[in-house]
Amino acid sequence: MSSGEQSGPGRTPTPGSKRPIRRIWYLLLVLPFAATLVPPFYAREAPMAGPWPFFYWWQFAWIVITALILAFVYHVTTGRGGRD
Amino acid sequence: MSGIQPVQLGVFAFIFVVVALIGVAAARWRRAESLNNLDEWGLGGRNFGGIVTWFLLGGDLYTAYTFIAVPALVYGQGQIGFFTVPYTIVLYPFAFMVMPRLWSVARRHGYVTPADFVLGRHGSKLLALAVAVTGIVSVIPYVALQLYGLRVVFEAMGLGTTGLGTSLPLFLSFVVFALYTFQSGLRAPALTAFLKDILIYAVVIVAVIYIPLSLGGYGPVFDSARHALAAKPASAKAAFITPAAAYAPYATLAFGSALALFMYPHNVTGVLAARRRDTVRRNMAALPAYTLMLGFIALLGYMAYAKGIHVSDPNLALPRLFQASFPNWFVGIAFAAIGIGAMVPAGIMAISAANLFSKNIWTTYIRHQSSASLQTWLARIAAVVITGLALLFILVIKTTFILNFQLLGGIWILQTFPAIVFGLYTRWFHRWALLLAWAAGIATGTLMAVANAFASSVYAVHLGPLQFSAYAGLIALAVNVIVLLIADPVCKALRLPRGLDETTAPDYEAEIGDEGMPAAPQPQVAP
Repeated sequence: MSSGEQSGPGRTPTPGSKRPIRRIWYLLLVLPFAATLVPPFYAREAPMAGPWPFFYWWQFAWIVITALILAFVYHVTTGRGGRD
Repeated sequence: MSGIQPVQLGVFAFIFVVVALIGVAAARWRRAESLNNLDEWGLGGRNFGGIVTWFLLGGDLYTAYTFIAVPALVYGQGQIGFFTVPYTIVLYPFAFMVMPRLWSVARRHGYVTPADFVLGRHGSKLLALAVAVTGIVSVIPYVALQLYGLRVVFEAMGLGTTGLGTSLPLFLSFVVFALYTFQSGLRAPALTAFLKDILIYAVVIVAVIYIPLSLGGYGPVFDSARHALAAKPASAKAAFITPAAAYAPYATLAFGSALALFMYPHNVTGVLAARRRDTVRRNMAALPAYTLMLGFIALLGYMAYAKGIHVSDPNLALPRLFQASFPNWFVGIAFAAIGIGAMVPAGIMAISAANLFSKNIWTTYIRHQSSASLQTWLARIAAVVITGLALLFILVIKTTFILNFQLLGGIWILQTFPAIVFGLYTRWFHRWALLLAWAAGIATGTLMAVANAFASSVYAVHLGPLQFSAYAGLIALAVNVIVLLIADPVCKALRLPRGLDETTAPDYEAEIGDEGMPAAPQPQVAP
């Protein structure tokens, strides 16, 4: 890690920011890796979602969940004027 | 479905030419004082906002070849083709963390290419050369692959597979590509990326709603694929659900490809052209919309089974599905979308490779005192030469060889990961150790590909009790990192001289308006 970086929970507000930037939320970004890079967990037919086997709907669902996680993390780690 | 399809060909040619002309005219868009420096020609003035960047990166990451190859793999082998879904899922959390750092340091120091950064950070001309050459060599087959995607579309429209029937339209497409990048630089693909994606989205949305409806929903789509894949011989390695033996290949292909993608110079170009650090961050959060589209494009491979499409060349699965499902004029639009989907990324790829040649090979090694204007002229010519090489590739060399070379390119580009990504966080590693590790990764990756006779990117490892199959690029990266961890303390113990680091820690988090950065987005001149 570069020396200038502050990290960890409860980081103090960046000067001029409207709220404290919580870097701990970056940890959420691990979830998509855990959910989609372990095929033994989801490589199966059941439970089906309508005609969609689990293998397919699980991965498609994680496209949407990842998009939501990224949008959330972007939001809580971005201060005024787009500063992170 | 043989013979020339005049309506499809007519619609295709009309849209293709109109878009190319818009690209040539793009030099005038947000016009700069002059296009005679690499910031302008090669990075579009470093001033693309959120929406342009979103289309530019989308145009970069999802290419004509993607639209042909992903359904082809799904049609041919089933489940393994879906590795592209986790691949483009985990891609964005990774890039969201890493790429803003590259943007900031590049903006602070005026870097145009990944090799510029490596030189500035590690102070090693040789390591920068290694990164530049890896980039150029990996990108040329990628451009060739775009032309290959075009050729599949020409073939589907009845232009044949050999002789003047394919070489003439490919040559004409090359002239269009070359003209438009030479003239407008990155502005051309940036402007045409809009049109490409609007067309692609329209076609994909219509296809994934209309085709399943006409087939009776997704039930018959999955059922027909399940039966067709089960009926294939074991040698086809086809399966509907990932079997245990394919767990590791599936996961490592996804993970390794995700790590590799933003090491490609054209994707770095797309990032560095953004106006602000925040533009990059916001884009990485917004790009998964493309992943959803990719997932449905993959399913088109199964829809081909439901529609009763039988092709010996899986690459024709998607074009034949469209031809069997849609009226001719709409097929023409769909094929034009794929055609422009080749033009946009091919342009960005050629530009990024040309930047590497001009800055990191010519200026660093041949003439140090090259003016900005000379560098830009060299890059313009290099872009045409690189596109020409790709054309030569596709016309002269067998298709399988191009696919293999592209496979190798992916393995190679991943070996620049430690120099670039580790470098974005730390300069702990010695420059000579990084160079040695890069060489070890390239050698291992190449040997594995050769041992597989280039037939597969998955390599079976047998190390005593340790037996598994995994993506060769990721195995080579593991070797790369192990060599790095061993060579680094050795280099330091031998007191080999460290390179000069011209960057500082705050550079990696700098935003427009910070000290040492441009005050605000540069004023735009209205088009």
